[in-house]
Amino acid sequence: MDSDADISETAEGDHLAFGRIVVAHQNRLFAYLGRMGLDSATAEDIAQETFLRVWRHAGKYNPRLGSLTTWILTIARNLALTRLSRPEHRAETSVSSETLEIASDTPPPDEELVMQQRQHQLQAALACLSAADRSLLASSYIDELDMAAIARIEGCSVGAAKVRLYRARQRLRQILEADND
Amino acid sequence: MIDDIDTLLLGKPLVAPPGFASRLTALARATPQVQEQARAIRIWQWASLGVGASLGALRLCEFVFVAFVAVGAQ
Repeated sequence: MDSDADISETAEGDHLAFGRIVVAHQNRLFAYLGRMGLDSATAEDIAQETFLRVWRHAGKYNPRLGSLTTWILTIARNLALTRLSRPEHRAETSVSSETLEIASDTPPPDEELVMQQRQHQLQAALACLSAADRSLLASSYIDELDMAAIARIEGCSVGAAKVRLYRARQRLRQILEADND
Repeated sequence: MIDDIDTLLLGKPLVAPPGFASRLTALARATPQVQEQARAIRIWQWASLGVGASLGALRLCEFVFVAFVAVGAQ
């Protein structure tokens, strides 16, 4: 695979190969961090640190243990969980509305207002979930990852990941329904 | 509601800011890579090696002695 060649070249100090890795993975990583409920500044900070760790430790990457995407997301997850566990971040229950925006062609004002309200509800509901569940939920929306890869990122078995994902979705749904009542 | 969750989470996601990749590449140029060093052999590993070598030498001496006795007996 190209990404395997790029990581090998990165391990040998090739900046261009590293640049290709960043370009190939940056939007996936930002989307993942955004779905965890992080604002764009925090996501950028974590993404930067993630890629710099990839650069510094490229020689440690082992393709037998998972794909490059899985490795990058595992690093990002650990950094995000550390960041979310800080007291100043835990106190923050509402997340910036810019983290998720509905992709649509400029809906009418009323519809836009409803969507914004839903976004705020979703952000508030996400903040009620544990950081690990937010990560699990976010990684489940990455097309490239199957359940085995998600379980590897989360450091649990496939069965446990399925159960946790089901419960996280249930909990999110309950919180959103309670908000609507 | 499930549809709502999916719609909301799949909504326009965060994307990397313009120039993010080139900024990181420039940062990488100024950041040294961690060189993987061969792990030092630990004491118990040296001890195992010593025991193995001693047993091997003993076996070799035994073979030489048996061969010498056999030749003498003939």
